[in-house]
Amino acid sequence: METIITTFGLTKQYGNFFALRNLSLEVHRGEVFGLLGPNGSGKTTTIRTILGLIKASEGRASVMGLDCWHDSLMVRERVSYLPGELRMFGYLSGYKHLKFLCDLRGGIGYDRAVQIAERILELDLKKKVRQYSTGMKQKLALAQTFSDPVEILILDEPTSALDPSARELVLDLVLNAKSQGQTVIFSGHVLSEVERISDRVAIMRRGQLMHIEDMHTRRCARMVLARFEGDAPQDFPDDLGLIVRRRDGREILCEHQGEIKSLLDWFSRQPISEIAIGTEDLRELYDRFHSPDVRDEDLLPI
Amino acid sequence: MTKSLFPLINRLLVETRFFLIFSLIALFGLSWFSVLRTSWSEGRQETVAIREQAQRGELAKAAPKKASEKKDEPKAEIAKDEPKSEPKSEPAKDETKTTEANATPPAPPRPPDTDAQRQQRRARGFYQFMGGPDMDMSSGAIETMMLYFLTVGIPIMIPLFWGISRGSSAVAAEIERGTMDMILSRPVSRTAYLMAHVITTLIGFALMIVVLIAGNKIGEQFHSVDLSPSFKALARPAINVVAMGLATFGLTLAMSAWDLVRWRPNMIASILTIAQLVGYAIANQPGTEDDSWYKVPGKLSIFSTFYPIEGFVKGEKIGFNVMVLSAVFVVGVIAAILRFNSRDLPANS
Repeated sequence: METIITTFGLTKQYGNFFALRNLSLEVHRGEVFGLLGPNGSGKTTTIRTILGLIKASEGRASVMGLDCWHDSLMVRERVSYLPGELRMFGYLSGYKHLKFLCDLRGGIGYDRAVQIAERILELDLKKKVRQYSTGMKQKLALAQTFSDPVEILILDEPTSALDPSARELVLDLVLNAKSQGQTVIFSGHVLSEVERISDRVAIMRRGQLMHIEDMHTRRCARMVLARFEGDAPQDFPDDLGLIVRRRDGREILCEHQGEIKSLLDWFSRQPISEIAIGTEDLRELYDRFHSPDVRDEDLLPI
Repeated sequence: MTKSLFPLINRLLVETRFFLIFSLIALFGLSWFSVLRTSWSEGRQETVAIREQAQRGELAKAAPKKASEKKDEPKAEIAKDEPKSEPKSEPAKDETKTTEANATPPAPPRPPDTDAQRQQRRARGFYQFMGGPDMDMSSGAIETMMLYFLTVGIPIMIPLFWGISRGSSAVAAEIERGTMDMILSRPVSRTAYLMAHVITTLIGFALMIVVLIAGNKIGEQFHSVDLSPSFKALARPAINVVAMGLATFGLTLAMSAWDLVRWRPNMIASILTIAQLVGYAIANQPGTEDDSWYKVPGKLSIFSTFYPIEGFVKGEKIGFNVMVLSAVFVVGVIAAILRFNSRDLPANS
């Protein structure tokens, strides 16, 4: 799989504070790459470094082989960015705002931007931007971003100010962009959204990359909660593919990947009183790194 | 770089239109006013001359050299009206006494004013308000007020305001407002972004030169003056004034390129400007010796590069001054570009 964005040992230091520390990751062409982490975890710093708005203290970031700092202009020709904090030109109408931003890219994409804004996101472009609500401003910026004829879209919290139906539209637009071969970096706090659309998810904590999860593998994984009549067995057959996550007397919680039939066959022969099989949502994975009782010393960054 | 320049400049012109248009109207008006004032001043001198002639009984013999026939009529009337207003003015009283001592025949009774005369009198409203024909225009206080505060001071201040405002808004204000992210996440080079601000500011300054000259030239069509200054004589001080604004813009832009908030470069540039103005005023107190210590701040002041009279008449120092001021501008812009291209642009939040 072709790598389109690479960061290697990326570090950004402000005095004694590390906004990013030794971040190395790869984003593949055509995938939706989710960036997860609480505020201050380094998501926006990573994005701004990729866009060449911030110079890394150490390490390097590149987009399609172009250095994100030295070749920043060429990088931004290939990337469209939706900022997390939207500040617009309030004195311009919606039309003029889109026109202005399209003109900065040589006037390309204006018609499509208007189409997305008016038909899909149902925005009144005749109004001045200062009359827009926060959600409407976000829709305007989204229309702009999705209309750019670029290879990479970077969306920093794109649904934060939107109502549920508009969120669905945005997720559809992301999936549509992916189907057209665009690569999307989707940074957000709503785990269900990231889980739904992402191919891979990176979880960050305090400027460090803690985990990268392949969501396709994860969607195939299932969680098994079984309660035995006696004590739960200490060992399971290796070919079952069970990984014990939690053990509590007669009860065990396991993660399973593999053939479901062999698993059910095995459990049918065991003295179990109850069994529940389901999937694990991203929350549980996220909480491994960000629940209140997690300590830094217990975690090992990638 | 060029493809993004036009939309950026267009946006900046839209954004600054009210400030720029108001500044241009103010400069145009002041330039016009300078013609009006000159016309008033010349009218006063002619009036005094006519009054003296009338008092000497020479009014019927010769008309003033410079006054046109249209001008003469009401001025003669004003002169005839003098005895009524003379008690207000000591010098006029003395003249009357002298006239009486010479046993000159008294002036004939004043006929009622015609409409044209009344209209012209109203047109000289400001002149009348300031004391009419008895006003002593040689008074240093009045000359200073008219010349420095009404005529010279404000046209200097407007380009300075423009320079400080545009300089501080270029980088710091856009970071503060968060709009820079919108622009620089597009394929716009930082140099192009700064150059758009520089070009917009230069457009404003160029328009200021135009209106300073146009105000004078158009004003001349409505208010007659004896000596009409040439285009060059008007352009020299206009360029000089604008070059001061340009230098201030360069310095403010450089400060703005370092900062994250607009108030700081704004404040520093304003304080520096006021300090220079004070230094210039101190150094140019009348009667000071050239080797006095308080001449030093005057030499360091940007205002020392502006000599309106010399610029207007001779143009001797204009070239050098504009060159120095332009050099300050260029250094400021280069410093801003170097700094802006190497700095981080943090999120506004």
